[in-house]
This record gives sequence, C-alpha cells and structure tokens, in this order.
Amino acid sequence: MRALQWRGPNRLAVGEVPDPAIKTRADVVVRVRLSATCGSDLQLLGGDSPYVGKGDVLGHEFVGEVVELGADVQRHHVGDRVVVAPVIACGRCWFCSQYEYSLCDNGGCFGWSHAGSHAEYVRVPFADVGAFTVPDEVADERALFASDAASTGWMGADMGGVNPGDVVAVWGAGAVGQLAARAAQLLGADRVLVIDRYDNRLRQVEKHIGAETINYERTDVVATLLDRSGGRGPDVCLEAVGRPGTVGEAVTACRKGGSVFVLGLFAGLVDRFPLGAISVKGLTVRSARMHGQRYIPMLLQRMAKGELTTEHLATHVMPLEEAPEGYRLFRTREDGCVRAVFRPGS
Amino acid sequence: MTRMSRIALVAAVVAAAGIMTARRPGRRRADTRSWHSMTVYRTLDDVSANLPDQLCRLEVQLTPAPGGRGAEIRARGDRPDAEVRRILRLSRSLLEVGEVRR
Ligand SMILES: NC(=O)c1ccc[n+]([C@@H]2O[C@H](COP(=O)([O-])OP(=O)(O)OC[C@H]3O[C@@H](n4cnc5c(N)ncnc54)[C@H](O)[C@@H]3O)[C@@H](O)[C@H]2O)c1
Ligand SMILES: [Zn+2]
Ligand SMILES: [Zn+2]
Repeated sequence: MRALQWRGPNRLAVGEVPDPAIKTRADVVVRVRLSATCGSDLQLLGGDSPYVGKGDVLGHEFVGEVVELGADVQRHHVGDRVVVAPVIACGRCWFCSQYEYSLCDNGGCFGWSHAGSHAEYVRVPFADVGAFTVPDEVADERALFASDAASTGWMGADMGGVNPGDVVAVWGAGAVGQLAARAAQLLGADRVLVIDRYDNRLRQVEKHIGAETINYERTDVVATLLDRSGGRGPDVCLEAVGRPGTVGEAVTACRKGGSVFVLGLFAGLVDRFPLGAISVKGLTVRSARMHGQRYIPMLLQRMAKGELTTEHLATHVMPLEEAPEGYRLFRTREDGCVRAVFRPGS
Repeated sequence: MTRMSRIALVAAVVAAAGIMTARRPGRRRADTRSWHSMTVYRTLDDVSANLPDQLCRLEVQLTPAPGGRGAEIRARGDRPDAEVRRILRLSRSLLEVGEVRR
C-alpha cells in the first residue's frame, strides 16, 4: 500500500509499504478515509523522537472504515465508519481503569510507536477501546477532528476545570487551541480569549468559534488579559502552543487560585520559568497527553447535534501522494494552512 | 493471598534460581544483583497462577499492591538490569492483555 514515510530529518516521501494485517485478537484493520497533520508531528519531523525511525509511517488523527476484524472484537463490524483515538490504550491496566488512557502500560501512539494513519490502511490495536463508530449524520471532515484536536482541546477545558462564568484564555489558534476554546464555551465559560499571531487563524476563531482574539505581535498579552478580566486574570489558562515562553505567560496572567493546563508538548528542558508565581498565586498547573477515549463518543454526539463544527480547520484537503507538500504548507503556515488533510486512495 | 503462600512461592522460585546458578557457578553473586519491581493490575492469585515462563527463570517475589492496584512483582537474576526490566514489562503485558504484539 501507499504511505507517507519519514525518511530522515525533515525528509518525507510517499512510498510502498506492506499492507497491515491483524496481529492480535483485539485488532481491527481500518481503511483510512481522511488523515490530518497535527502540531505534534512538527517536532518529530526533525528527528528528535527515539520512536520514529527511517521508513516509519506518520499520522495519528484519522477517520476510516473497518475492513478486517480480530477474533475478540465485539464493538465493530466490517464496513463501520470509525474515528480512532491517536493514543493506543489496552483498557485493562490500572491506568486505563482510571480512564487515564494516555498513561496506559500496554499502549502507544499511532505515527510514533505504531505505524501511522497517513496510509491506505492502518492496524488498530485494542479496537474495542480506541475506535468509535461515527453517527451517519456526521461527515468525515467533521468526525476526523474528534480523533485528536477536539478531544485534546476538550480535555484541556475539562481537566483545566472550566466552570460556568469563567474567563478562559487559550494560547494558540491551531486546531487544538480553537477547539479548546469551543470546549470552554460549551462548558459555560463567560468569556473566551484566544491568542496567536496569524490573522487568518484569529479570524477563524472569531467567525467559527465566536471567541475574542489577541494578536500577540501587536499587543501585550498579559496586560490585555488582565484588562479583559477586570484585573483578576483569566480563571483558566489553556496552553495549546508547545513553545518556550507560553506556559510562563499563562502563569503570569492567571488569576490567584486559578488553573493552567498545558496541552502543548515540549521536548527537553525549558528554562526561565516563573516557578515562584505558582506558589504565591496558589495556582494549579497540570498537563497530559490526550485521553481521547474519554471524550470521543460525547464529541461525536455534539458533532451530530451541530454544537461542534470543525470543517473549517481542514483548509487543505489533498491526495495522500501530495502529503510532503501538505506538511510543507502546514509547517510554514503558507496559504492559510491550519490542517493539511490527506485522502488516501484518491 | 496470605503471607504463608507468598513465602512458599518465593521459596519455590528461589529453588529454581538455585538450579540455574548451580549450572553456572562463576556467576554466583546473589547479594549484588539488584531487585526490580513492577505492578501488574491483576490479582495476586491470577499472577501466581499464570506466571510467564521468562519470569520463572528469575528469582521472584509477589505481594499484593496497596489500594487495589493489583500485584507487585519483584525480580532479580543473573542478567543485566535492562534485561530484567524488559522481562518484567513483557510479563506485565502478557498478564494484563494476554498477547504482546507491537
Ligand atoms: N496533549 C496532547 O495530547 C496533544 C495532542 C495534540 C496536540 N498537542 C500539542 O498542542 C499544541 C498545538 O497543536 P496544534 O495542532 O493546534 O498546533 P499548530 O502548530 O497548528 O498551532 C500552534 C499555534 O500556536 C501559535 N503560537 C506560537 N507561539 C505562540 C505564542 N507565543 N502565543 C500564542 N500562540 C502562539 C502558532 O502561531 C500556531 O497557530 C502542539 O504543541 C501540539 O504538540 C498536544
Ligand atoms: Zn495530534
Ligand atoms: Zn491500559
């Protein structure tokens, strides 16, 4: 089959790889219908991840159709349209019993430890735990984002503790930040502000999410956030960037006793952090990799009801053969690219 | 599981380890081999009844984990630390999910 492979630092190519097959009784094989780029791929393109080697297939945010079933699979049938959580979880270890799926002792992640979804087919381990049937009324372009961006964003708002009446600030207007902002609204936030420097992304936030925006190149972010929250600071700060500086800014802006949730994924050590402010202001600072299995069924229901729309994020839908160019657009943000989405077999 | 059955089990495995060291006398430095622990989300009975083969070749202790977290497996043997940890991880996957295929 055809698949997008990592061929070395910043070298991507579409090539021929063996078709996946059922390996354990809990697997399914999915024919990929759509598979999206994600901000977290950008780090590993450079070759920083010990999990990704030459020839490995990238991609972890996808929707597809079940074509083969392992003997123990209960919840799926051949032909089902499914969204799959990027984080693979067994459903049987202690962490899974606490619904902390991304901490699973027997798990992994597509496009890192396991072959990814930028391919015609992908093997999905523990399919009863990680794959979810998409309601008929939800189109692929919407369902796709339940997989990662929407569940990650929702997790930030949920675990960050957004309550009705809160002022919520979100750093980053990528797909994750936008959907974190939408989640905060749906959880009852009174005011949601999204920070970025790309006007096209901020316009999407205003038009499709209905949140306020701050361009950090033109504005003092902390001063603006304080001003727009009556001098208190945002109750909840959601970091959806993953670059040095933003978590510190969130800690500085956050109100006393408030909460900062870090969705961005960082590699290595990050210095110059206002650690003292966490104690003095009594903040709660948390982070996690996404626990998609917790949220995907609920998100698909909200998508079916029209509460959560995500189509605007798929700015560049293209055949899988053009995936290297899709990653170039996504990385450079050229042409207003928010997510490049690949359609295998077209 | 009671303390007595725990001790019995340890004795059994220690005996197995003894046979192995007898075959390779040069490697006999029991006191310096370090223990490695891993918690498995299965009952102690389940773990002791289904101890994976590779673990049986190590010296093993089993105790219940506190707070309903399953069972703690402690192991050591005449192998590099990384190898003992690898066997423990593999055993946990076998005990928790039955099959191990990446
Ligand atoms: N926790 C998880 O499991 C999980 C899952 C998916 C993505 N992520 C992470 O979430 C982050 C966002 O993902 P994405 O796909 O939306 O990425 P993206 O690259 O599309 O968007 C990131 C946005 O942050 C903006 N940004 C950069 N510096 C900023 C600053 N100083 N202040 C405000 N905004 C700034 C960029 O302009 C960009 O629009 C990444 O770090 C990604 O790794 C985490
Ligand atoms: Zn992702
Ligand atoms: Zn698990």
